Amino acid sequence: MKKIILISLLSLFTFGNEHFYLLPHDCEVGKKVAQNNNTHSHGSSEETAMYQVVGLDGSWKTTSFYLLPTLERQELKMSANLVTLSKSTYGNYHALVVNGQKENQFFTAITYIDNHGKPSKISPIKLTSFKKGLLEIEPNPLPREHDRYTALKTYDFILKFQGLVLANQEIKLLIDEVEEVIARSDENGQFSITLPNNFQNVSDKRRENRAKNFILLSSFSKDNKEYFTSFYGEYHVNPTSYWQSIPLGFIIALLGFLVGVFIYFKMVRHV
Amino acid sequence: MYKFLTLTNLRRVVQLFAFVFMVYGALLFNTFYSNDKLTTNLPALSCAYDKQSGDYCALIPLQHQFHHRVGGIFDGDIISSLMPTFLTLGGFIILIIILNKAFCGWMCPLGFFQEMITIIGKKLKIKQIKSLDRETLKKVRPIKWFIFAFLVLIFPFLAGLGFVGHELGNPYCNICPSRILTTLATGDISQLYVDKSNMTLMILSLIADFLFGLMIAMALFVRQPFCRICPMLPLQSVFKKVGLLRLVKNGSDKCSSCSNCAKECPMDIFEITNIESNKNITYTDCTLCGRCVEFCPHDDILKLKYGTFDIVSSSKEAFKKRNKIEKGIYK
Repeated sequence: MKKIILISLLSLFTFGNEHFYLLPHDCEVGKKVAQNNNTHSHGSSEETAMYQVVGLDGSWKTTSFYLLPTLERQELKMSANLVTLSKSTYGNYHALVVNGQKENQFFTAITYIDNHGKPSKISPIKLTSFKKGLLEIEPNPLPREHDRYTALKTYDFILKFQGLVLANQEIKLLIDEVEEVIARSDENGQFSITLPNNFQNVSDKRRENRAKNFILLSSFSKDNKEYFTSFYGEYHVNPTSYWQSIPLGFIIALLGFLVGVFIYFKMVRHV
Repeated sequence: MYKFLTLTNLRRVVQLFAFVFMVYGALLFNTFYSNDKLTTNLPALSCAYDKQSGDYCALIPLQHQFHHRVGGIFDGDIISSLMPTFLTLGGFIILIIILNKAFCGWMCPLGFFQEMITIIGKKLKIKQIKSLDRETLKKVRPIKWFIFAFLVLIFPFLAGLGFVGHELGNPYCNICPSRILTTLATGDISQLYVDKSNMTLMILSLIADFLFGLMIAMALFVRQPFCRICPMLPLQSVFKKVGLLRLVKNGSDKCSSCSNCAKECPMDIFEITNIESNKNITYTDCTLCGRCVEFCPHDDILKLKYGTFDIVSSSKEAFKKRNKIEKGIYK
């Protein structure tokens, strides 16, 4: 009886809060396809070519595609709520997009995958700003070379509806199945988020630390139609919180400076 | 106003613009990703760790290629293993053809920073060490070749083959003071760290921070302290013969009694005093700053040439004027 009441209460709270987002599917098939595709993604702890759309059931009509760095579109087939990436020989960011519709409801789930490969000669800014769905969270920009989503760092995004910026909408951050409103888009559709430092049992051996998933969610209603969108990304331990010490760095630089001063007095004595 | 029209002042203006472009270019010119960069093969220490950089130096891709790709030649995959390195060097050579080693003297953010520190040192009335003695120079000069060979090429290559750990995949970047300077210039302090994750990274980070502090202190009384050990100079000097811009000397007997050029050279290239006949004397350490031409008191002995054209030539008149400006008595 308690269980029924609890489920009823939960369903009340979640009514109208439809969430559809992509997550890597950690199965052997996905890993095998990734191997065959020769996929070597940057910074990802697990390499898989299979993703699942969380929240999706059979009543939704879906389309999915893989947008290459050249902005060439490869249509993907969905099996139940799973989608498998096709092979790309290009390096840099690719976009995996799933769009869905059920009566007056629409969703767009997006993630960006950074692979090694030949240069596309097209800026990832063109990939992120390319219209991929009705309601979309656009990274502004994606992390560039020598960078990746990291705890305690702040990142900018733009919320767009039908390719135009969408102001004053709530943005939710979903991590470890905990959801919170984290920002609101401004008049230019822009918002910033700071990723939390919520890693546990962090190892000083950087490669042993697994990335965590974060999902940004937003929704919008217009003309009795509901639009949902999500952005999935992985974020990493911030080394300066654990095995990199900035105060010590300053001290060593100061020590170097003092040695320079010592060399100065030694040299001017001989001049 | 006219007194400011010297080669050194012109160079400082160019350096300032280059500094802004290389350190903050992504903000100004929408050059955020490597695909947006002008070259990614710059013969100047502009850093990819600076997230606002407008372009970055050739040493970064070279280390990555030696770490991740070049080892593939042992699998027989010669073309795809070496192609990225050829492309990087190809871009680098094109830039060297255009401006040769002037990338150091006119464009490098770290070179400009050191010059500014030296000016501050002079303003603070810190006694300047005008020139390093030859014994010191003989000890210091080979260091850049060692850094270039081991930290840019050999260790990344060995890391790629698995003979040394992957933490030696880009060891030069790990000690480069330009990484710390350019990120600090954008308000990012995260690169001035000591890494405690393993011994190799700890040693490299200690060297980097120590070198950064040492460079600032030394620049207060010695010209261009880090440039003397910079691995960009050896890489440039491999291709310097193809550069259109060069320093040419047509010496005479007057040169034996005068060593103004060597005294003014910020890199203390004493060989510049040798009597040469119409010879390209762009030495390995030369940054083509042109100070030797400015301070040569004789007509047409030193020249900065671009192809067959003379850009600046030494002359008695220019020397007199330049000397007065230096002493602050030019009207």
